Amino acid sequence: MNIFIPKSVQETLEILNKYCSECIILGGGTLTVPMISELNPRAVILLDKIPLSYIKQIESKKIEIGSTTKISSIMGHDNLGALNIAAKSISGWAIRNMATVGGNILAGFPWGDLATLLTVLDAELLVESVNGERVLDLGKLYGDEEKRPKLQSNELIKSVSFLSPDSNTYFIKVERFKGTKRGILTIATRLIIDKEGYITAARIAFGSAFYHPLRDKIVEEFLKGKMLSADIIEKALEKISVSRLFLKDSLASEQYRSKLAKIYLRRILESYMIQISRRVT
Amino acid sequence: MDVLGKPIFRKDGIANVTAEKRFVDDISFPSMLWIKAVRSPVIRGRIKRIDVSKAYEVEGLVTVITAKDVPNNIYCPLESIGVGPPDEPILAEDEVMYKGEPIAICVAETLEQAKKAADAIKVEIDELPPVLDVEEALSPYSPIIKKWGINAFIYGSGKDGATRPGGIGHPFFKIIKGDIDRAFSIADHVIEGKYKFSPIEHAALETQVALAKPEGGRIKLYTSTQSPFLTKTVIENVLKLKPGTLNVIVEAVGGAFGGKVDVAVEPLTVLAAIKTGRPVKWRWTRKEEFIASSTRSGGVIEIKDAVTDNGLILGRKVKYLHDAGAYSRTSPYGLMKSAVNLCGPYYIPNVYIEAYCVYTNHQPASSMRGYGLWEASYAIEVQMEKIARTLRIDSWRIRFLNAYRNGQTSCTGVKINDAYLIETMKAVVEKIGVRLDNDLLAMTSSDWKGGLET
Amino acid sequence: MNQKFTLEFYLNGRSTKAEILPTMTLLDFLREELGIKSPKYGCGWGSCGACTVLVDGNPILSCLTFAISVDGKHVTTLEGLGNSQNLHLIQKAFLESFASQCGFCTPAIILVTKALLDKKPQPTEQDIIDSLDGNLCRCTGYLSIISAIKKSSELLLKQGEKNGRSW
Repeated sequence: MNIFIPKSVQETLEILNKYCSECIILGGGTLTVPMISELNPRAVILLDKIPLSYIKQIESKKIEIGSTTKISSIMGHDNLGALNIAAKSISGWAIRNMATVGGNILAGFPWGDLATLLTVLDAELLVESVNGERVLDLGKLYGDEEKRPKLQSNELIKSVSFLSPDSNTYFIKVERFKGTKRGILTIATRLIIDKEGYITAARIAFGSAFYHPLRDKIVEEFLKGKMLSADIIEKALEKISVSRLFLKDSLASEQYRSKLAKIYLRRILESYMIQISRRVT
Repeated sequence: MDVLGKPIFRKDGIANVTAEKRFVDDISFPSMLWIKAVRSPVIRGRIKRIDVSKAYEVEGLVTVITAKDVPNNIYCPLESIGVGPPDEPILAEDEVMYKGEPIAICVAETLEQAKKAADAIKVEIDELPPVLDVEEALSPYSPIIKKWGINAFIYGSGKDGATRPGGIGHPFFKIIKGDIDRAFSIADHVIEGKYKFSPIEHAALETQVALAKPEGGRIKLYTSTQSPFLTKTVIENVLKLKPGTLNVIVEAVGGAFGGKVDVAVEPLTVLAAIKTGRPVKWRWTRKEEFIASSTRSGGVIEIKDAVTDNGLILGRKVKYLHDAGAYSRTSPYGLMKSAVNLCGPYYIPNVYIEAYCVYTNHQPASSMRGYGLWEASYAIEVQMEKIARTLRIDSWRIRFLNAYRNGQTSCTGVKINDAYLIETMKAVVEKIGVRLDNDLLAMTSSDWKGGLET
Repeated sequence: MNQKFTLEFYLNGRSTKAEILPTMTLLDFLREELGIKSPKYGCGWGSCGACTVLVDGNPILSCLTFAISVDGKHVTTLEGLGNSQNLHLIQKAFLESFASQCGFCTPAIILVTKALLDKKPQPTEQDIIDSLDGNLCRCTGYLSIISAIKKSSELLLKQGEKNGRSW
C-alpha cells in the first residue's frame, strides 16, 4: 500500500489517475480510515496539504467552499445561517475538527448532514480529473435512486458552490436520543414565498435515510403556487413519496423514519406559516 | 476513625487523572506476539473443513491454534461449583452455534500480520437452520440445537448447583408456593401481561484483553477481569495445568459491568504463550465485543395474576423464557437468581413459576449488573401498573397493599423479618410532595397480624 | 511499500523525530513506538473518543489520523499536562469531583477540557456539553465530569492568569 501526501491539486489528480478505483482518498479520514484495513487499497491519498480549504462569497447570494474545508471552519462563521446549524449538528468535536465538506457530500448512509442542506441550496460541484474540469449539479452527482455517487474513479471534488442560506432555509436533525447528535433523519427545506403568500419555489430534501439525500420533487411540485394553510400542509405531507426508499439501520426502521418525516416536515411548514403571519404588510 | 464524615478520594484517583494508570493493553514485552481470531461467518452449521495452510504463508505468522491443540476443549465456567453442563468448546470443533464463534486463532509478530493470516484461513461450513426466537425454540417444530434433545436446560437432577443428583429433571426451574389453582378460582380478576426484553451489551470502554508471559517455568497472566480465581480454575482445567503454574494478575479494569466475568480471552492467550514460549497479547476489537462477547440475556416473562377487587394479589403464575443463546455459561444459575425474585418486595401467598433457560443460536448471554434482577423487576413493576390501571387503583396504593410485611413469606417461602418497603415509600412521597391517603400512611412493615390471605 | 517517512513534530512541547512506516496511525505510533500510553483504543472507528489527543490545541481522534499527518505540528497528550507529583488544575478538579471511575475515558476527556478552556475560559453548561459530545464514558453518567469541568473553570479564574500553554 502506497501513501501519498500531494502538495497540489494537479499532483493529486495524477496519482488518482494512476491508481483510480484501487485507492482511498482521505479528507478527514473519519469514515475512510477504518475502511483501509478492510479494503486493503493499493494507494491512500491524504489531502492534508492541497489548498482547497476556504470559504468565500462569490456573488451577492452565493457561497463557495473548498472540498477539504473542515466542518469546524464552517462553524466559525456566524453568517452562514442553516449551514452553521447543520455543521454544529455533526457529532463529536474531534470529528468536526477532522471531517471535510467533500467527505460529507460523499459520506453515504446514514451520514451526510451538510449534503442534505446543500441539496436544497441548488449546490453545484466543481470536479476535476486529468481529463479536465466540469461542473456537476449535486442532484446529478447522486442520481435519483442510485446507491453510489456518479463520480469517475479518477475525479476529485474541488469545491461546492450554493445559494447562501437565509431565513427561508430550514435544517433540522432528528436525533435518536436528544443531545447525542446521532441522527436518524435530517430534513432541509427552502421555500420562496411572494408578497401575497404564494409559494413560488420549493426545495424539500430528506437525509440520513438513504445512500444520499433525497429531494422530494412531488411535494415540491404540489407546494408550488399554493398558499400555506393547515389543510395544504396535510395534503403536502400525504404527497411525500421518497419515504418508500427509506432504509433501516440499528437506530431506526424505515417505518419510523417515514413517520418522523411527516411529523417534522409539518413542524417546518408550520414555521413558515408563522414567519409569513409575522410579516409587516 | 479519622475517615468518618470526610470525603475520601479514590485510591486510584490520582492514577486515573494522570497517565499513570496501567491497563493491560498499556503493557508490552520484547518479542511479544499478537492474536487474531477466525470467527464463524454463519449463525449455525456443521464445520466440514478448516484449511490453515495459506495462513502459514503470511510473513510474521508464528502459529495457528485450532480445537485439536486445546488439551481440554471445554469452557464450563461454573464447573468447580457443580454447575454444568459442559456444552461449550473453547474453539469450535465440528459445529458452530452462533455467528462470531471462534474457530481458530492466529499468532503473529504484529497485529496486522495476525489479521492477514486470519483472513487467509478457509473454513467450509454446511449451514443449518438456526433457532432465533426464544418462544419458537420450545415449539415442537423447532430444530433441536442441544445434544440432550431439547432446547432448554434440565433443572432438578443435580447439575444446577441447587438440587441433588439423581432427581427427576425438568426443562425448567420450578417455584411452587401455596395453591395457585385455588387462588385463581376465588380471584375477582385475572390480570395478564407479557413482557419482552432485548439483550444488552455491556460496552465497557476497555475491550477484553489479556497478556500471557512465560517466566521462570510459570505463566504470568495479565488480564482485565472481574474473576481472577474463576480465570485460574478454568484455565487450569482447559490446559491441564498443575496448580501453581499460572499467576493471574489483574491490572486496572476499564469498566466491566458483568462483561468480564466470563473467561473469554485468557485460555487461548495462555495456550499461545505456552506453545510459542513468548509473551502473547490478545485484545478484542469493539466489533468482536458487539458480535461475540457475552451479553445480558433477552427473553419473555408472562405473568398471570389472581387479584381481588381492592388490589391484593392472591396468586401469581409465571412462564419465564430466558434466552441463554448458544451456550450455557452462567445462564442456568442466573435464571434461578432471577426467577426467585418474580414476586419482588410483595407478598403473594400462592405462586407457580416455570422458568426456562432456553437455548437459541443467538450470541451467548451471561452476567450483567444485577444479574437477572433487572429483567424480573421490569416485568413485575409494569405488571403492578397494569393491575393498578385495570382496577383504577392508585399506583402507590397497589404497592402499599401488597408490600410484604414481617412475618409473611417471600416468593420461595422464606419468612421475612427485615421488611422496609412501606417506610421507604413513605419517606420518598414526603420528599417528592405526594399526598397519600391516611390509611396508607398508617401502614407499617410490622402491621401484619398473621393468618392466611386466601 | 516499505519506504519509511521521517516524522518531525513536537510532543508535549519537546521536539521529536522518528522514522516510521507511513501506514501507522497516530494512536499506534504514540502507544507502541513512543510509549505514550494515555490515548486508548476503545473502538477504532471514531465513535468513542478514548483516543483523543490535541493537535495544535484542537482535539482530534488519533485512531483515525495517520502519524505522518502531524509532521511539523504540536501534539499534546495527558503526559504533557501534569503528573502525580505536580497535578495540573484540571487533574485536580477531576480528582476532587470524583469524575473518573475506571479511568479509561479520562485522559481523552481531560484533554478536551484543556482545549475547551483554552478557547472559552468561562464556558456555559451548553458549551461543556457540546465539547464532550464525542467522548463516551460508561461509568460516571457524565454529571460528575460536567461538574469537574465547571470546577476547572473556577480554579482557572482563581489562578488569575493564563499564559499560553503554561497554565
